Amino acid sequence: MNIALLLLRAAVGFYVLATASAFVSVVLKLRKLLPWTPLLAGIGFAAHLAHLACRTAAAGVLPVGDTRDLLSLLCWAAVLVYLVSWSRTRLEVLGIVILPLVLVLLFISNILTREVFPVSRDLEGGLLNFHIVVAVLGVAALFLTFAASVFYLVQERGLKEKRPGRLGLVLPSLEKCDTLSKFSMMWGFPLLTVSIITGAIWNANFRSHARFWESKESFALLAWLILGVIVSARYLRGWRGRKAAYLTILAFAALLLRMIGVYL
Amino acid sequence: MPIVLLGLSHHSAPLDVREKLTFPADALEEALGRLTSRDTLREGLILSTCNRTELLGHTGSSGARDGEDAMREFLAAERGFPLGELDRYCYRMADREAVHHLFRVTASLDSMVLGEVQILKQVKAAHQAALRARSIGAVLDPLLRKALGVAKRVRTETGIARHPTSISYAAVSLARTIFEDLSGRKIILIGAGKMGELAARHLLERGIASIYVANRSFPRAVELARTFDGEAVHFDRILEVLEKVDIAISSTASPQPILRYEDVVRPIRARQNRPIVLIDRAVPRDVGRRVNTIDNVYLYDLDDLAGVVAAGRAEREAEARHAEEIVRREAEAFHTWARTLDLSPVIADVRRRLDRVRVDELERYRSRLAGLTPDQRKAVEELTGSLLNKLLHHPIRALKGAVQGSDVPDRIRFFREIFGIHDAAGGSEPDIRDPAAGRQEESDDSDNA
Repeated sequence: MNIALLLLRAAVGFYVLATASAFVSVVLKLRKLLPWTPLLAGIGFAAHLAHLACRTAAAGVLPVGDTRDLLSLLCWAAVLVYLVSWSRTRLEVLGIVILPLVLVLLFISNILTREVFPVSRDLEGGLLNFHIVVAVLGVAALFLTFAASVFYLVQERGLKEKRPGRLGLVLPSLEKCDTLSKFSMMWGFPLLTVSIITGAIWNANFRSHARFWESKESFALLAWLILGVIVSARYLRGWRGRKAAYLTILAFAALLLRMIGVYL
Repeated sequence: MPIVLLGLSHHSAPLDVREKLTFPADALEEALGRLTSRDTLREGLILSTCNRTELLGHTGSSGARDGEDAMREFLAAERGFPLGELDRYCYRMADREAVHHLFRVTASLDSMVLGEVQILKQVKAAHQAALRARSIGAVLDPLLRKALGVAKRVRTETGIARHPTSISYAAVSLARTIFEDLSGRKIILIGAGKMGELAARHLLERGIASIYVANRSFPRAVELARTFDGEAVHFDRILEVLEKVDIAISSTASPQPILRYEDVVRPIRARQNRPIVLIDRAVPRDVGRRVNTIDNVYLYDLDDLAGVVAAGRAEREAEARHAEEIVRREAEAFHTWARTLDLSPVIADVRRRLDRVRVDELERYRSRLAGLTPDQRKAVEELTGSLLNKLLHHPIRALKGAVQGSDVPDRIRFFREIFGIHDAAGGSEPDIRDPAAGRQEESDDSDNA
């Protein structure tokens, strides 16, 4: 067993514990457990970082050449986003959405590729690496947007149905959800825009046949368009609320599918 | 340590008894003076609220029973209540039980409305009054500080205080689910109903920036606006104001809805999706039902608010279980600590006595030790001193171990007997009014242990 794999397993183990602590503290209302979530996620994050470093050192290039490595990098960046947003807002509870999603993605990447592939080298090239890293960071920022939108919908539904009690006081206020979603989108959207442009340039220059309008590409484009509409409506018309949250979730789902399907 | 408590509350006495036994706040300090002027009570505290009157005392060397009796007589004499009848309504507690009870009361676990905030302020006030009257010291002062600390811990670690306890307060709780920060928000109060006013007051206490008041009778609106330091608004300008405010509270006596869907839909659109809370306290209702279907509008009528409070009550009860556990553990810890207070005078006495023996013996051997150099003499001094400490180490540890058990007074008596210290000589007990004295004794012996 190599060290990289061991580190990844350790990371997954800590992510599982972090997720469990978030769920137990919210469902059983053991508030004392909640501070453990970012701590455990942080340890997992460190192990994950070491894993990525091992892979990179062994291959000599950034490991983004197959679905497994790409999703692993995305998950690592998503946990980074969680930890950063926790350190700024002290909202441990964000982990209850972000961390399970991270686990699901790591699980999927494991199913899609059974064996540890050597790092694929046929994707070398500065522009492509740049394109991929920027896309990963952009989607990772949108993990936070996604979590905030889910919280918003839960809160909004509780309020409209006149049952704001139970979760209402554990989750951030409606306004906070909205601010978080706006803030994270302001990071995610420009990054995605840059990545789509660099992706298109790379496609035009290095590929023998243009694949720009393939279904996978159009997923990304669709998501980008939806996000563009939300961002501009937010800024020009002050648009927000339930429908914006639904659309945001849709765009995020499209992006994730695109990420999962990159090398399939 | 005898800490004694005598009290009555909504659990034990009806209102017409409780109201006869309350102490007005301005007469509290004098009453405390009279309470502690009795020989049996070294320290005393009076907690008097509309739901309870409780006397807390520290009896020093007298027994708990005497302390309780003294407090009982004091209460009867002070409030002119028949002594015999008093016993029917009062509960008495001592030591561990009393500490536990005080912690529960302060944490609002014994309140009529579980988790209400008021009691914490009342205990704080009782503590302050006792400090001013200099009626508490080495035992009750730390006890009260601990009780307040435990109550704060309960409020932060459990959700007991997070759920609204009353319909008027439910508006605050709602607003906080929607808005991150209430300061800087604007509200409008429509109609001069008492209930609406109360809800508005709760919100103002949370730092709402400005309030508009609208009423059919404009002079009344002006009058009410003045008490809130707000701005009066003509009744037909309500819809304009609705564009600006974050919370609207309505409690008019109008038989017809005053805010219908058709009326509010436009001003709310103009808000560009900023959320608004509409609290409808009026019966019959002031706001049309359909208004709730507009995006970003949260309309709550009286029944909705009652539902929020009822759900909150269930939540508070669930949280109370965590709270009880915290209180139980803290009470136990305090009790153990308080018992060590009983030991310090005994330990000090023993040390003093044995040291005298040591010095006397050295004196007796003086001539035989005359040939020693100053260095050697110093060594002999040190040797005897350290011998004493070594010999005392285990007995003192055993005595301190007794703090966990139930037979502390017996052990103390036994300990005194072994070392030949009589109670009469125990006049060195630290002055209980001076918290520093007790602590001094304690640190003395922990240095050597």
